[in-house]
Amino acid sequence: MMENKDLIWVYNYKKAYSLLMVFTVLWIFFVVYDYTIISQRPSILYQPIWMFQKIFMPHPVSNVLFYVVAVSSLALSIYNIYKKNIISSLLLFLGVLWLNAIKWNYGCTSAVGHTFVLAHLFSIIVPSFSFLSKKLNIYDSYSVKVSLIGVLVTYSMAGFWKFLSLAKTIYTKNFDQVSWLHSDAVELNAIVGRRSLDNTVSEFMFNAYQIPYFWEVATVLVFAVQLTAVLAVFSRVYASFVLLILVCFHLFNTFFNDVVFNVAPAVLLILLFPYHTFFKKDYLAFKDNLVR
Amino acid sequence: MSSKKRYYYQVTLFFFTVGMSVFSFVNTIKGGEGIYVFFYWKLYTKPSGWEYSAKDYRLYGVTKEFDTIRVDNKGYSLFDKDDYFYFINEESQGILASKNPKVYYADRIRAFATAIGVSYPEYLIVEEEFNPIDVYKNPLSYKTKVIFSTK
Repeated sequence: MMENKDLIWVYNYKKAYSLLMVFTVLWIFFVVYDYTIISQRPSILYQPIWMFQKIFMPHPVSNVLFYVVAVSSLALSIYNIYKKNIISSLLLFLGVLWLNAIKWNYGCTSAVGHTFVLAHLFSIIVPSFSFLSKKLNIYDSYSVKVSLIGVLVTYSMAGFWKFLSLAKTIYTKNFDQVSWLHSDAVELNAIVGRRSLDNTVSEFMFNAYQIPYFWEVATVLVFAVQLTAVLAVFSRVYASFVLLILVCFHLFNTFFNDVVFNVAPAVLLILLFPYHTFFKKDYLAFKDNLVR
Repeated sequence: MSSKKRYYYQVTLFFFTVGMSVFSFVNTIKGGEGIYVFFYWKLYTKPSGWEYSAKDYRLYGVTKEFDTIRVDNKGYSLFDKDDYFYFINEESQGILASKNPKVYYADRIRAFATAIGVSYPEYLIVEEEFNPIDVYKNPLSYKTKVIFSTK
């Protein structure tokens, strides 16, 4: 019999997986909408960059192929809510992998959507918890945790590079250069980021960026949480903390720095939300119904 | 498949993805592209504009009377603000590195201009250099340098 603290992860992943499928349905509608726009672009601008794109979409994708993949992925998302298996989730992963790559065929690439695709990749091997016909095993909770680590490690990598850069600044004592710990860091970053889209930083935000120490502390906190994001699977409390800080970080960047990470905070919320505390009755019922 | 076996496959998959991220990083250093969807997440290790100097690239149109007009990044139906920024930025980087012949960029830039609904006899790609603090106080305080002309 599994302990409560391990069962929580299985229950939360069961909920998270269903929601990931619902979110995937919405995401596919968004991709279809996006496709109706980008497919009107002149084909001379079409320029695949990644090896993946060069192999699987060397020319502008045909309408028929696009809608076959989109509709199949839609059907698989709904199917997986009820009867997930390795084949159906592998096919859905391939579908979203392909659909996500379409937007980045016009001279630029971006990591937007990567965590979403990784969440799909790491869901393939995790067993379905929709209908519990077998006894749960401690290894099921381990599979869930590795699945989450697979997504969270992207944040740990991001944190690693930032601390490496900060360590270099401190080691070389080069404090005149603007690192993330410099008092001008956040406003420089915001002004440049917003100007790239011909937007300006509001006077209110510019003044807010002058508040002493607040931004330096917030920056170090966010970097530390990024670096240690993978540790979230060892403590449900820390997982909630990581979720809170990273979602705030994404939303701040979306609203004030025009960074479009619109999918990432949704994926984090879906994967790490503490469902067991919000749906306590449902969780207890889940626990009681387990095949012993 | 047993739960234990699934767990072992899951761990193998994890190390595979980390390996691919490392491979993406090495490949990028060598001047290649990352292996989609395995990125190495080296992002914003320093704040943008950390040298108190930054560069933006913009499309300009030249009229028959030889007036130059800045085509603002205001968001167009086929290219929103992000798309405009990414596209012009990538073309500019390619131009600066002389990655392709001039005619390649001229054709693409004309096609891009048509797609966002502007029409001029000649187009320029202009590098705008500025001090972020100055440009915050006065949006017009930037230096311009023409890096490409479709003529």
